Amino acid sequence: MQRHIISVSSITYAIKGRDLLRKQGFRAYIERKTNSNGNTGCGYVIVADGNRQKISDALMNSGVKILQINSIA
Amino acid sequence: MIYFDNAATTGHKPQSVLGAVNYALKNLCANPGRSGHSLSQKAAMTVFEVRQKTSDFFGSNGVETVVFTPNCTASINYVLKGVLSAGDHIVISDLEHNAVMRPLKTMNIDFTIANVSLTDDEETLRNFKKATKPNTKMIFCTAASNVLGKILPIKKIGEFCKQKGILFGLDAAQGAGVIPINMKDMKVDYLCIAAHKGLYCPMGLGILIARGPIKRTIIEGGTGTDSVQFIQPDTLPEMLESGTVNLPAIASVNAGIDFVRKHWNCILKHENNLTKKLYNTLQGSNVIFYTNPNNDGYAPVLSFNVEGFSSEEIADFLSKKGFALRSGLHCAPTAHKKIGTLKQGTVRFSPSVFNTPYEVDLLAQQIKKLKKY
Repeated sequence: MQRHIISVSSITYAIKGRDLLRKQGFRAYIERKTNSNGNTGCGYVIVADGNRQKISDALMNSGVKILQINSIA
Repeated sequence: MIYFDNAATTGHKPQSVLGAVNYALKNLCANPGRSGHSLSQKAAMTVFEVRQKTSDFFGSNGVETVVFTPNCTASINYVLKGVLSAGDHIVISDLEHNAVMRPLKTMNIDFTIANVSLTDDEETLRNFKKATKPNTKMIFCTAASNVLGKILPIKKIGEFCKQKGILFGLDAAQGAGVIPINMKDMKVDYLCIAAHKGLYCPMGLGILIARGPIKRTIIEGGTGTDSVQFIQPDTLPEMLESGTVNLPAIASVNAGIDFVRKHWNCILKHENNLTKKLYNTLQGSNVIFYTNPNNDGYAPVLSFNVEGFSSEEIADFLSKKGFALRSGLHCAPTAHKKIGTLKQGTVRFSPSVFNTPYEVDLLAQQIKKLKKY
């Protein structure tokens, strides 16, 4: 199963995104971003396991704008 | 002191609200959404939960629509200055607070004042419709007058706005927590709330719920997001929340909403019964009332004067007798112009759910004595 590190614009969207992914059955949690990588977003990332496309769609359909998504095998 | 100045701020706070503030000061004193350590995350989670509950309670469509501000006046400024531009027209009511009048004057925005009928909501609606122009961008009005208690026909105005593609903003300083407000049902785009009034929270916290667009900010600064950029973020709520938010007050909002929900069936009824009691008890005396709270469509705010005295003299007399009531214009001169009290102002009686009929009897007794003062 793939793991995805998702940058969003604010802690509000990070929590919102985590909660809605959990409601849809994905394993998801919030983590402090340790690699600043351009200092985009809020300093937090959503870490989620599952199908990348489905996770992206779930977030985007609920108005959670994804700034960056990195997938780890 | 028997406190009847709850339209200014609720004087008695529920124990659960006090407990929530105390808990936050003891256990959550970290900057939410900033520092990243576990305590900061805990504080951020609390703020998020309050956004969620607030959004649900007022019928909004998401946590991100809920913005915490310093007060209701700030919320109103964020809407008017964040949405309106030169060339736009706005319709307001003749009961508006200076929180609306002064920003519009400062911005030099073209506005038309619609007359609110104190007895006929259909007439009020017609007046709002007549006041619109082809370039009307927004209707902004109070949910309930802070001088007369008159509740405006919010849903009807909202439906008209929706039909015409006009944005609808509501000053709910006196309405939130007292009268039913559901943004979705009432087609409200912007809801401005004083958390320290009907939600029983501490002062220093306003709420703006923005379902409609906000084009620009009036305060910029650190938001804990996208820090490398000098450009203010353009997504709510952080766009409008530069600087540290008032966490202890925010943390108490859930308790305030829970209190209101628990007592929803009796708050308005009980408070209106108290205004009716004062009105009915003082009939036949030298007290002048400007509205009749026995009629439907009123929030628990009752203005009065006593023949031969200025409003300040009356409130001063009552203060010396142990009663807290506000006198003067209540920052709403247009409402006083409407009822002919621009010069002398009024004394405002605004009870809360914590007041009792016995306290109203004591107040009425003192008001009757005023002629001997």
